[in-house]
Amino acid sequence: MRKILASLLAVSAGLSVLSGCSGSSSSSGPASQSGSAPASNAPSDSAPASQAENKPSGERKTLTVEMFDLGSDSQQPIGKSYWYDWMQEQFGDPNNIDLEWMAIPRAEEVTKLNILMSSGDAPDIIYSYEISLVNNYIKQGGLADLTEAVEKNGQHLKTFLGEETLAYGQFGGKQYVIPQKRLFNGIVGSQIRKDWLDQLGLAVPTTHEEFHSVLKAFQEKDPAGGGKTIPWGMALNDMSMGYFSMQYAFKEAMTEEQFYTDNPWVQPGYREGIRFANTLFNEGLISSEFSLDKDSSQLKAAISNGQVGFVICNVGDYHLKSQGVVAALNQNIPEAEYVPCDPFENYEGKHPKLKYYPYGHYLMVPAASKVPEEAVLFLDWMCQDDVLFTLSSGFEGVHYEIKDGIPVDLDYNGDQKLSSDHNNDIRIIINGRDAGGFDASLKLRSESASPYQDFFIESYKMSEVDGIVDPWYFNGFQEPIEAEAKYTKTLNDKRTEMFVRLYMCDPAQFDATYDALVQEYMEAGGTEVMNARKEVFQRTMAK
Amino acid sequence: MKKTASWYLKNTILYGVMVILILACLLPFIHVVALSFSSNRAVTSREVFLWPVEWNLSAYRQVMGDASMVRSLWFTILLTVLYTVICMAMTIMAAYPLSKSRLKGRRLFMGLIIFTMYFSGGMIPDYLLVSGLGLVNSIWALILPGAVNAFNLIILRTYFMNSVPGELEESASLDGLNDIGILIRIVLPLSLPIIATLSLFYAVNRWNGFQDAVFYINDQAKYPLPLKIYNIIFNNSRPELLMTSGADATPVPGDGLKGASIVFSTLPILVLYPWLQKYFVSGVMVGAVKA
Repeated sequence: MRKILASLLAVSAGLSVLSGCSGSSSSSGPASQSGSAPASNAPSDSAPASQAENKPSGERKTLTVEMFDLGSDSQQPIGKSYWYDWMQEQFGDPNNIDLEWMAIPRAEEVTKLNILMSSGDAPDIIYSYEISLVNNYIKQGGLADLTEAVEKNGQHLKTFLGEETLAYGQFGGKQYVIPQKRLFNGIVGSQIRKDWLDQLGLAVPTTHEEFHSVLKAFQEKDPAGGGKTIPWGMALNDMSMGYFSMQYAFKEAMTEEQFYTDNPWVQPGYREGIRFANTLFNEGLISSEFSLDKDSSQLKAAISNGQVGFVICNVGDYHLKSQGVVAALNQNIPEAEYVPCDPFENYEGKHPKLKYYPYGHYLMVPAASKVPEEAVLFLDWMCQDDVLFTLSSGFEGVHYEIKDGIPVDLDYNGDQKLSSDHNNDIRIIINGRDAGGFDASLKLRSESASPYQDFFIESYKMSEVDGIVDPWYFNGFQEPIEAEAKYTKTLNDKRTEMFVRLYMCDPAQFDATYDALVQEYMEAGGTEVMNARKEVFQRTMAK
Repeated sequence: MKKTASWYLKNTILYGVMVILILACLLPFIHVVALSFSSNRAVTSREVFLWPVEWNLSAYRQVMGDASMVRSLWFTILLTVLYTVICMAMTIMAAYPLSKSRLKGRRLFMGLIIFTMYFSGGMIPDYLLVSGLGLVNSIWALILPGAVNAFNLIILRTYFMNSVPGELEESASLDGLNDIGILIRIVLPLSLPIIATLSLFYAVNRWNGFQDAVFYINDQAKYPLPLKIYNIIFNNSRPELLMTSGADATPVPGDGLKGASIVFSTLPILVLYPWLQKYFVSGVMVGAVKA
């Protein structure tokens, strides 16, 4: 198995070089086809109208749509289960379109999409979370310009996404991408053992000084017993290392230009955030072997055995029923309890942390597609309130009943079963299950953390406080930056290595190590990326 | 033989090294088996090592209850049998003529075959070829591109050249057998050990292989089992995938379920090994040639 993986990695690394030969010859096609089509004036409140308008006429067309193969046992067979038939019936037949589906394994999406794109076999609707992929395709002329198709067929889409979100899909003034709407923008959830704090007579820390002394108290008083206490449980991933929350708290005031174009490593104050982690590590307050714990399995085990005081993760992750980490902890230690805790306060008294853009993955139509307008029509159909609600929750009385304003699942297990988690693989226009309004949706989402719903809701609300969208982590500019497409992967790997070395190095050597590593980072492509971003910033955003 | 101190020392070291190697192969597998039979709580808390803790079969119930898993199993069995038969036929038919010095252009053919061991078209040209031949989404996409393995071919050719005595073939030809007759009636029966070995190579390779299926197969009904398992284990389980998926992240399967899936897919090939082992004996040739 490992051998296969290794060779797979090697192959996919090779691919990133090879993928340059994507077909750009057909790039001028679809955009010009949709040329003189008049914009329809469908009012966005009349839901079924757009279907009626596009009366079946002429030859039947085929629209192929990518579907992530999630590999979860709850996912229904792609293209061969009830909801695919339902979409054909509701959208395909009225519009004279045959819907087809192509399964793409989630973990291999980039590699497989590259191959499909370069051979011209890609589906008509593709999507990916990878901005570097999008940039590459745009640069090579692989995507259809959807500006006019959206104008013609995308009236519901415009209302659903709003101008602002739709603008995130415009590159160089052209609508190459339709962003998926993201319902929940908070990411970072951090929590602390409430029962330990109570036992030691401490309050939930709100600044990093308080946080430091709480961790020290955990270490000294050893509430886990037997010297097993891990004040701050960490694993080898950006989230648990505080990259998305703690690091922001140490950054100082900066200009918008610095924010966009200075690499975090040289942004003012960043060094101090890393130094703080270095201090904690050298005082023994952080998991000593975090750098070996790639899949977080050691960390999860430590949490479930009641050893971990403080931990950062994706909002509510360890409380989810599907993860079962806190559930296992409570089986081992019934009185153990985590509460949300955000001690990373910055110079303004804020608690900045990463949040998402208001969009999820990037929906695209390859330039080679013969049906770009129908592709937009499909997405436009899917985002209508009633369609989306049915796709997300099923039919009332069959799949759900309304209780306290939210659709509560009935125990339905028949042929019309929703796929995966409430069709999250199928409703590709939205990330998150919409229950009609944000509060209802959050309440619904918290059910996945049952019986810790209250924790989940509180933790989520905390994750939105002072959230910032980091143009260095997410896509910063509405145009592809070549240097980024080239160096991002290398630089991200380098970043993780730097984190580990800087967290673990001798405090006396810290500054020297920091300077040396940042220099290496800059030489490995960091400088090129910064210069390219400066150029784009000054051209497009500077006022 | 007199057993001296150095004899004991050598053997202790030898056995020690072998035991370590064996354990290094065996323990991870036993660990996975133990995980697959343990409760979720015990797995998450890392209490399981080599023996299941809080014994239960829920993971297996889930795997066996998954219709697509069972379907993939049958598909993979069919695929592996077809692949092995076709590969062996191709390999034998190429290796036998190439082992004969009277074949004209033998060096050229060997050179061309060896060339493929060093150079290949790369992933995208491969895909374009398979797609151009109309094989995408067909079982043949997983069979034909790998139907001859140059390395196995060379092994078989060398075996034919060195281990099947020319005198036997000569006498068979005097008795009136043509080349095909000699191959089928004389050479192959004498080559069973190598044929069994190479068949196993091909079969194991196909059974475990999935990276071609990632690209060539879009229909879930035609997923080989390893791809199915790869999807279960890796899709959405990497932190960056979980993070980008946000609220729609798919639940990460527990290690118990992963273990059960792995055992489920490994079992058939494990059962096959001892059965094939009887062919791995030398001595087939003893007494075949009279001095």
